[in-house]
Amino acid sequence: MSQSPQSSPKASDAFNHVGVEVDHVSIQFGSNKIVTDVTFSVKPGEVFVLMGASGAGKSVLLRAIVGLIEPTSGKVLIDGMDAANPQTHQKIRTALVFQAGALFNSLSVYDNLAFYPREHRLMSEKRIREKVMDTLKILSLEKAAGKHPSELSGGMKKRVAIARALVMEPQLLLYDEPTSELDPIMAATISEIIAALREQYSVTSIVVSHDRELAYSIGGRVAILHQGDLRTVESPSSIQNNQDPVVKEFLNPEINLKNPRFRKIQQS
Amino acid sequence: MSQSPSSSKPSANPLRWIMGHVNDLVNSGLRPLSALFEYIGGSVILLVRSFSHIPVILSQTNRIIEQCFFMGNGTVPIVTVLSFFIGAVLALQTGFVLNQLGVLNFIGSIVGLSLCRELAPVMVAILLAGRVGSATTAELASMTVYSEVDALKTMNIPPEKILVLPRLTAVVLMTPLLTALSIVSGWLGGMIVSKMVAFLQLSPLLYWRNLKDFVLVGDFIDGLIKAEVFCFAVILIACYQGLSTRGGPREIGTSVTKSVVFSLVFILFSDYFITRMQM
Repeated sequence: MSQSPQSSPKASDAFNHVGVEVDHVSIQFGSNKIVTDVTFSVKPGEVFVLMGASGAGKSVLLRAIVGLIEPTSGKVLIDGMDAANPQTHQKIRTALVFQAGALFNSLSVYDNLAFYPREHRLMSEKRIREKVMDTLKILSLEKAAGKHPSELSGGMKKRVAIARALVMEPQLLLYDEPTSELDPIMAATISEIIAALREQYSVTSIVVSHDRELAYSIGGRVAILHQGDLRTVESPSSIQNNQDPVVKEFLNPEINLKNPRFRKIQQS
Repeated sequence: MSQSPSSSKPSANPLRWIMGHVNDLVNSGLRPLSALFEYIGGSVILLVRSFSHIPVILSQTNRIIEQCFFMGNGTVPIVTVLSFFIGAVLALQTGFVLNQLGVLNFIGSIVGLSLCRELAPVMVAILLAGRVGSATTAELASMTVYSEVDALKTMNIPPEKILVLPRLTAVVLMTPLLTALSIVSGWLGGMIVSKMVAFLQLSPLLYWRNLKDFVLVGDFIDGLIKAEVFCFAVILIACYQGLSTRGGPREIGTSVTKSVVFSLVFILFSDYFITRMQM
């Protein structure tokens, strides 16, 4: 992941659309298969929502796209370049909004946002200040600039994580469970922010989520991953009529008190 | 998950059962050895990756100064006090015997050489492992467990460049100062005890003269080299242990313990070989 400041992507390259190709990707840890032969593509500027039950392999797949994990077989291509190659992420700005935020706890919100442009010496301190404050304003976080992550609520941490990713001016923005652990209003706010960012900057976005409301409202296409297998990739309107029992069960789970699922699992 | 050979019944296939047990035995015997090689290999890779950023080391000046301050601020008081008392006890113990032998003025040479060549480097490294190494491991392990290190990677900022290299540079700069301080503080402790204790009553002039006669510049340099090796290894182990932590809060605690234990083992183990090489 070495990179000299000179090789950093220039700010003028920002928000150029990139597409993503996930080509027969399998990921395995030891003998444990996490993702099995998954293939799909994300169009430039699209919001692609990846859904699935907990443990289905969504976050692992996301980490493979951002280059933190190398697939056991198959390839992830970003704009035709291999995502497992560190050079790709030097040419294309890829940002990941982590599930828990992954904010730098020793730094203030302001310094968290200023970290990337400072480290890569992309702009002057004055310009960084303007950019950081503008970004904080977009996400209604101006008053939190001087606070440390430990002083923030869950929703604010998510917004700061999105703001930090936004300061990077990414061409590909990945979100890992952006609305998990949030109340419905804050979840809706985060969904609106993701949609607004897509409208404003046309950044290609891949969102991993359990949140049906988010998928139906902002997703260009929705994919369902089940136990490491890709079940379907469809538009939000058509996926709601999908007759695959796994997809139906995931999108419209019924609470059956007379014959609960855990009893069925115990019996089988 | 495949079934362990040792769990199958011997009556099914006795040869396979015996071979399974032999395989289990060999694997369990080799596991600590392979873990040791993995640890050494991982540390060396971390070192090489960190060194690959030396050309841009000046961009890390602020972090190096911060780490120098952290190492000095946390270690100087305790090094000074402990070294003083180690020098004092050494003078007291050896003085008691030397007085009976009628060669009391040799206290200076014994305290001087012991501190210079052995006690100061080892003590500085042990204190650094306890005070700075443990804190470094805890900080890096916490950053790893809570995905801060992954966040750095996604930002195209190598963790070795901003987390490891400044610490290694700081320890290289601070170790000679800490070791010299420890040596001088110990010498002073020895001198004061030699003068103040009733059954010794050795004049400071004789103490220093004897010390100067026996302690050469080469001895001082040998001590500094030894301390540099120990302290550098302590920080490298602390960084590697921190960055290789997986799991949660419990594993952070385990990593800190491992870091300190491995550091102490390395210091005491390598001490013999370095001392042998310097003779």
